[in-house]
Amino acid sequence: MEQENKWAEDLPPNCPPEMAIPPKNEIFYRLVKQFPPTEEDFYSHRKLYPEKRFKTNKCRVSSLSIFSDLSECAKLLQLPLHKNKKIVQLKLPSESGVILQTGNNSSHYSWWKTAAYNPISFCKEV
Amino acid sequence: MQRVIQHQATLIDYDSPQLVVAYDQFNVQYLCLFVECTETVDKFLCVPVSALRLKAFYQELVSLREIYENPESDEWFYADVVGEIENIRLIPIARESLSEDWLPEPEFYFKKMKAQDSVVESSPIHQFSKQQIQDLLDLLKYKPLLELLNQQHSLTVSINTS
Repeated sequence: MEQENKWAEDLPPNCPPEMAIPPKNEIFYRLVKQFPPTEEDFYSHRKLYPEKRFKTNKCRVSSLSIFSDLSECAKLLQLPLHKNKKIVQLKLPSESGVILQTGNNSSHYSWWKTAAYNPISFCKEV
Repeated sequence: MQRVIQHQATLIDYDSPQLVVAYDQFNVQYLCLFVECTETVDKFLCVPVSALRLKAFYQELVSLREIYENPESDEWFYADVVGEIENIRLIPIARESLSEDWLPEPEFYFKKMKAQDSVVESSPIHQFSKQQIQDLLDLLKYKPLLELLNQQHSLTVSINTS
């Protein structure tokens, strides 16, 4: 039986998608506002902005974006909203949640984090 | 006339869409960049973009900065989005009021990595429907009359103000 509060956030029905799988200690990269990161750096867009209305992509906006390729993640630092952010490296164990490659960038993954996993102490600054 | 845009394709996603292709009621396409995030609204900076330029952007031949600094039609807009890009009104913005904070860094190039169902091949800028063409032709019929009325109006105004 699935644990109660398994996921870090309330997820819509059928989310995460069935195709999402647990990671196997692969390395991923994520942007954070500062180093060391805070819990908020691992909140989804939906959790950060509950007043925004999301109709078609509730599951995606409840996930966290991560990249398997450092250079692809670093490119985002050139966009207006991410200019002053930092990159952290994460090695995701299977208990950290599930991941699924999403979007047109093959190194972009959506990560649905479990409540029990706290990534902060595992983050390495890049 | 107000321009109202719909989402066509998300080119860059990071927790939420960052760079989006949208189209308006005249099938004009826009590149819309996520530039400001508040509690309730996502602000996007949008510029019209032709099919040719969009293709060049997809092939890393033109930078995102160049597209925003020198839009083909010399027009800039912003869009306040509450959630998703669906029936969003574009608000014109003057070049002088564009903040550097809203612009991407000069070296940002984008390569379309794989074919996406949602990335529709771009239709040409200003592709009108048959009805829109007919409406324009109807309007043109009245052009001499409109010009005459305009001249008379200017004359009236100048008499009244003199």
